[in-house]
Amino acid sequence: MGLLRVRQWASTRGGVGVRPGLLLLLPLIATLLFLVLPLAALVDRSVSDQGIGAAFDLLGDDLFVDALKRTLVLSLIVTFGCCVIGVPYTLAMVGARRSVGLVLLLILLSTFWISILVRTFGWVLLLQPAGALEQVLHKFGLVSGSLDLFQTTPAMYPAMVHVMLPFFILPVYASCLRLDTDLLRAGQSLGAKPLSVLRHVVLPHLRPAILAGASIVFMLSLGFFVTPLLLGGPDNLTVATLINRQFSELYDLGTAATMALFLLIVVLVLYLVIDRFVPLVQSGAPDT
Amino acid sequence: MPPSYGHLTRRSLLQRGSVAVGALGVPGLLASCGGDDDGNPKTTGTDASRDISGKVIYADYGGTTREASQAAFYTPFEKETGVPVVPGDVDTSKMRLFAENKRSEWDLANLDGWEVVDFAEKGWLEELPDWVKKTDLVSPEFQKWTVGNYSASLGIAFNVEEGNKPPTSWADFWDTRKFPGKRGVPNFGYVQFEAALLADGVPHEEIYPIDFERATAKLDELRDQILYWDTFGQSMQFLAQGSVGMTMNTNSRTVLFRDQGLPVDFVWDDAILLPWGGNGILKYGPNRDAAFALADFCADPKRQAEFSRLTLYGPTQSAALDLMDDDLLSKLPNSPEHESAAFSLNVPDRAKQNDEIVQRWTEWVS
Repeated sequence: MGLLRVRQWASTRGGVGVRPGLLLLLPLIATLLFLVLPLAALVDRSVSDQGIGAAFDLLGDDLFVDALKRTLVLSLIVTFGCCVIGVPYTLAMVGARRSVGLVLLLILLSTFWISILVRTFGWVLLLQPAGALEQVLHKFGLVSGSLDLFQTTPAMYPAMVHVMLPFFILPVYASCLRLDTDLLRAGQSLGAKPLSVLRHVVLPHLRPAILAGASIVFMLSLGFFVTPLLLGGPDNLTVATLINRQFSELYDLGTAATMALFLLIVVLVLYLVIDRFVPLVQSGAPDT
Repeated sequence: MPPSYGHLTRRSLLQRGSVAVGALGVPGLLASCGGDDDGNPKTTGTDASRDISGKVIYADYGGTTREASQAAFYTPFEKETGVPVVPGDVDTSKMRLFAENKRSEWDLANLDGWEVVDFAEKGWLEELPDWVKKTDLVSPEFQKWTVGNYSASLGIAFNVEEGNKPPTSWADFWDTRKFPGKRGVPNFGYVQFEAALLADGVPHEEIYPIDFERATAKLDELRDQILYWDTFGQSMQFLAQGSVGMTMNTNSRTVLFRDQGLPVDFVWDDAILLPWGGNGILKYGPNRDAAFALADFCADPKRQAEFSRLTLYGPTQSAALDLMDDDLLSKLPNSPEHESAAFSLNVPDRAKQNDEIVQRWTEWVS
């Protein structure tokens, strides 16, 4: 894919005089140094500490299986939440007046630009006991006492959806921009009401992008770390926070490595399966 | 004493978040305390004939403890020897890797007493040469493995506005009917089992070996009321903003904040005294001789007294206690008065169960 792009680019500029292979040298070295080697070390650590069958032993470990189930459910819910909020948001971005659309885009991008840590801390300040949300609700007399949200599973969802939303919306937004507006006019001129234009023209066009966005969000959510760590509390371990616990509290590097590999393989398999049905790479990012 | 277990990721994440708490005044306090440092450079017995050069890398807990260490130890050491002390962030999982790879990034690490015992047995620490001064409050059989740094009390920090009468024991910490409000508890295995057993009425001399069944049953009673914190700063923040009514914390943090005018106080009765922690010298460190010299420097009573004045942690050199006035003594964990009121844990006993404590806590909490 990358190589092809580079070839095309190079051929359009004929006289650049740099071989595409050379251009790829640095990225290749970086990949080798920072991805392949660490992964090899991870495999080595896992196998030398635990043996080849360790991954199967993991399936007998209740804590791990619980964390895995929790992570899958969490990722599904977050993906669903992103779809429900993301599709209308995208349509609003495209459909609204230009200035409003721009503001919506800026709001979205701001969640990209502000560090995930800062945003998660924002949610901590909002949700913690005696935090902002509780104070507001108390002020209006809507709730008395503690909300008991902080360090619970429900506390994680809004923050995770917030963090993941751009990964969903941007591909859908790109697809929206590619929609031929003549099709909308054609639909209207043939008597379709706005809702049926949406149903028969817009959504079918967006379908691949929605699926791609959802898949990306789902796979990213499987590795979620900071947000569950800070909002979920210790009894809401996801696979990633469990790996952290193995590593930094129990000093069990072998098990941590095995868990990490397990998660990696799950994500890779998912990727390969999904990629067969949804062209993830092409619509995975807005056109540049 | 900051968390002793790993948590590098989590802690470094949280340190950024707790800047706000730091801004409440500790740095200012440190600065004002440091003002009358008499800075006499000739107080230590660092052997002048020992020619040291380069630098020393000291892995500590960062934050306010590091600032105080810099003022009391690192900077004066550099002034005297010309060898700068470079701080790093302590992380036990890294120490494990250092020992495995036989190469360490750090020369010294700030360790809890039970870590000194555990790591000495694992062979991760360098034995001290005879010329390094001993610290007499460290358990005698481990004085050759570490120069003590400080003692700390882990006890109940409470909000004085919260209730009418202050709590006086761990039993009160558990009694959420008499003392309503959530409870702040560390999110890593520390002294929670000891606290649970004390709350359950186990006499001091029978705490070790820990009866985990009994301790976890007691912890179960409190589970719904717990708010977990990752750093002592976050613990204080929870208390200050009213998220919890009581929280476990050190005498140091709590009393420093009280002296700043925050409506918090510390319960000395039944507080869990960690009688000594140490400066451990790591095997395979890059600057061994300079590390020994720094350890020796840290054993100096005057320097220790200065560190205590800045942090309210207790010295591990009894001569340092003689240099302090009554006001300072009244805030230290190992002044005679507070030591007798506290549960002073037996470091070697605690060390024997250390791995199990971490394991059991992890199981219980998740």
